[in-house]
Amino acid sequence: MRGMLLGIALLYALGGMAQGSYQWGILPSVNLNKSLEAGWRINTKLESRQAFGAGTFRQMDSRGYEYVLTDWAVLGGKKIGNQSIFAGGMIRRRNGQWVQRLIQQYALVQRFSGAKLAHRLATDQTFEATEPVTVRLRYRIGTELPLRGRKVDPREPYFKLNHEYLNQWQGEDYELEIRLVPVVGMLITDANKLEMGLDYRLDRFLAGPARQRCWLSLNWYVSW
Amino acid sequence: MLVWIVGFIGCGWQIVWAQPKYEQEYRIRPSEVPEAAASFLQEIGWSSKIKWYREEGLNQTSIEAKVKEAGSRYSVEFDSTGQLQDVEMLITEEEIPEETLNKIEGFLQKEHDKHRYRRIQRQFTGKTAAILQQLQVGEATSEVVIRYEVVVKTRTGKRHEWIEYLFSETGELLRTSPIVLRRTDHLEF
Repeated sequence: MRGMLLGIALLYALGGMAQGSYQWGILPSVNLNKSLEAGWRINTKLESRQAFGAGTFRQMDSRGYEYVLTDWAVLGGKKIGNQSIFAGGMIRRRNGQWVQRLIQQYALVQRFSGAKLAHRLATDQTFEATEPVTVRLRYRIGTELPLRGRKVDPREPYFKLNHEYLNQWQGEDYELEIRLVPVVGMLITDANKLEMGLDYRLDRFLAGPARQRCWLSLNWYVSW
Repeated sequence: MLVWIVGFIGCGWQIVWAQPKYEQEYRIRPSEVPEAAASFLQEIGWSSKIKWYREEGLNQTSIEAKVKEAGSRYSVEFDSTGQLQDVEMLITEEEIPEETLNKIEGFLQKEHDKHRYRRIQRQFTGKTAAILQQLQVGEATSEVVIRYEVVVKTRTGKRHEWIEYLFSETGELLRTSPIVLRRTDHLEF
């Protein structure tokens, strides 16, 4: 928890000093989870990114609506106790081009009295026609807190906060992206959740003016 | 953008209210607590802040008071009219009498390949006056029934489960209740 707060403070400081660019818009996603036998599961996620504004702080210019991209990921894996390992791939449509990505992730969810704490370690490799391969190493810590009562029951709201560090290597270039995602969710049923909140991303601050992106995050999780 | 937000909230609203009733709990103000329940807590004489909750089950409603007093966490449960149901006190393994703990351990080792205690509570039931005396003075009486409610994380073969067991004061198994854990796909993906 202390690390998360330190990360948030760092994020704020870096964002505040940035004289770079910004982008904001909407990030809706649908996440489907199917349980199979013996703890095996399939996860698929469809996510779209649409910008309603972008520009630079210095000139305060702003571009209007822009369809940014659509992602479709499919992962297969196994859950053992409170740990899970998944691997799969994603395809992306962006600027009329197709992008492919391989994904591997490990997650651990700890349950406390009412609250949950989740750790996710992930790696991915992105392949584009005109770019060298991009390799990322990601760590995300997240927490879920009940907003009513001592635990989250069906038809009750919850607060979720994710904080993630994404290390990216492309050839000899290294970049760090930091994300902070606070959302409010509703546990409609154990198999159906809706969330709405902010997805704040800060990157490109190591070598030059930072880029800040803020998306309205709309998430729908369905399991069966 | 506004269309997205309104549409999302609208869909969610429709889905939420179309669902059947579930068990729910929520915090309530002291003014909403039945008098009998409030009086019982007053008579105990605890000085710490009391958090009150109403639990609406499928067939019944109960009122629960949660308090941390002198380093111990208590949960006092009443029915909807304020009549005392039981008092539970959070304890550690070391606070269970050795003979009782050995019996519980023996049972768990026989039932599961591996187990880890997640929560242990000492439960007091019986006559209200006797329980009150137990809490005020700390003196056990034969009119108070003591039980141990144990939540364990278990592995049996390839099966991983959380189970709540209720044992008698001497370690006899009284009840087994598997715990259904909420899905965590929204935290993993």
